[in-house]
Amino acid sequence: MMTKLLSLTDLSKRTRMKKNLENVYEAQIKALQEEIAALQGQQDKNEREIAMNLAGGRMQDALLIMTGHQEKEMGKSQRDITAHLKTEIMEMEEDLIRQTKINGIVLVNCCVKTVEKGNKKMVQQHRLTGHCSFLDFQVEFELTDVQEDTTLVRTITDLNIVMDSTEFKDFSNFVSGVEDKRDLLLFFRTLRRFSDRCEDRRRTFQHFQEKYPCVVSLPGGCRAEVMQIKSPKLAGCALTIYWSIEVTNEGDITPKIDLLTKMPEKVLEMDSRKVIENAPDSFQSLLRILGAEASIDTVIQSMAA
Amino acid sequence: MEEARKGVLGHLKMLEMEANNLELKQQELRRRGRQEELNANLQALLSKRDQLKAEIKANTSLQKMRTLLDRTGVPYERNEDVDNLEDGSDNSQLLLMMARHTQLKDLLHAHHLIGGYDVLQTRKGKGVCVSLATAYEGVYLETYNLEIDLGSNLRICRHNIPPFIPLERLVTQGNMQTDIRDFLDTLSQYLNAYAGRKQQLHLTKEIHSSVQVAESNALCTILVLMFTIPGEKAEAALCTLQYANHTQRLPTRVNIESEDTALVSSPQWKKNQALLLETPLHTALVTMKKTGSIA
Repeated sequence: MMTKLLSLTDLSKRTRMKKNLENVYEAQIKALQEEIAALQGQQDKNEREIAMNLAGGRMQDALLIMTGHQEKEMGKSQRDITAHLKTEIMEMEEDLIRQTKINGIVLVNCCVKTVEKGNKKMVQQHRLTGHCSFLDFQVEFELTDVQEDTTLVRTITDLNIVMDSTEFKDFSNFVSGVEDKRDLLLFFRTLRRFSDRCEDRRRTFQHFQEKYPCVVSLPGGCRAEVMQIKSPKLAGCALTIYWSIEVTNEGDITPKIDLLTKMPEKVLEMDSRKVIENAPDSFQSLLRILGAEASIDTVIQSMAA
Repeated sequence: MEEARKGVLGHLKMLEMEANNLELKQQELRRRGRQEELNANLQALLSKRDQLKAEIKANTSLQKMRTLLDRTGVPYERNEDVDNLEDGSDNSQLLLMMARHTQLKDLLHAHHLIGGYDVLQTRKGKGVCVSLATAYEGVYLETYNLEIDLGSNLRICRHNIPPFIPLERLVTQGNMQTDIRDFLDTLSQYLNAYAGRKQQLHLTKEIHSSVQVAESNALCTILVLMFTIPGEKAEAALCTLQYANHTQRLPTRVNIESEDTALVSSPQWKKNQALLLETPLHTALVTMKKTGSIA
């Protein structure tokens, strides 16, 4: 029998070569494992920085295309996937219109950042910008979700609100209070009702300015609290309507309309029946009986006459 | 004789060589098996790394597109920024759509989080379902639901609003038909006030075990508490809180009674009374404990 004979030196050389090859493989594997760990760290960091909701079949399919998977291996064509995604987008756009209408709040932007993510706990920061009629807002809140047994406990753990309308002093106080108590829902409920009352005022003021342009003026614009009524015939005689909208810390909204008079000395002297002095109180009674619009109309007509 | 020995020795030598060769072959096989295993492992890791890289690239492109979208609104005209973001034109369109998809999802979720009514069409557009969320001091509490029939007149056909909330009255005396949002806002006020009062009671029971709740009603508008006044005699004081305005979370009347009438009219207790009128119950009690008014 003839068998291949290996010399000792050949043998050890081959062994060493093979060992080297193994070492090379093992080194490459280790390097790759480290690279993968680093990449996973990078991926996790990216996903937290800008947290996006990628759940759902349509998005997952689209993602597969974006990461280079072929139509054949997915069993769906890119055209189909695109079409389905488009349909979903249209449905969501319609839904957004419905929610905007019923909530009376327009949300323009929403950015989410993941601060903490664990087995049972997730903390995310939301930054919202939008407006409620003419009132712009920027709201940042931190939301903490904790899975407790069978229920999910959701808490707002931080709230920051920035609003342009600093001229409404009462509303600013309310906003500070709501931030302290992290009452996000109360803020938006109250914002909506406050903007409705502002709208009432603006509509009424504008209506009167258009109806009696010679008598009525709005020195601060139609969104301000003040309406001035000046008689064209009686110089120096002016009435001012102050329409303030008070907001308590608990979100109770009370419009308050006051009448103030400014008359020259001579006119006041002639007012024996103290009509002018009592005008503010009389106006309050009128408000109770006739309501805002009719009462103001009455006052304007008395000046115009 | 010599030849026979030479034959046996020769034979043994051959056997030894065969055995060595066999062992070498086995070692070779094992080594090759190991190599294949390592190689397979290597290939798998390479594939995983490439997959991760592709995912990160795709995600980064998507994030860039989304940021652009947030900043500028839907870019109907292809501008430079959009062009720079992706290579193939097919994929640019898809990327834009994906970004818009995530944007809409975020906006819709935000509407829900800020206490929106989550209006949902039911029965092929013949009805709508609305949700009324409640929260107190940052904690999201119960959500209540209404199903409204969209006939010639709006009608509530299903709901899970507790019976002590005046739903009927709000429907008949309110403006549900003309201004559904205002109606829902009012209902939401009642529900949130109730949830707030209930939560204050819950927290009081949890935090202040030394305070006894003698009486409370379902709507949480009447509360009778018993305090222990620190001191040798360990007197008791009875505190009645009335919440006459059901849309509010603070009491309208606070009454304090004790056998020690001097105590009740002391300036400290006048302060406590005012505190209970202006501060949520569980928070007021913390202050009252700190100042030593109650045990």
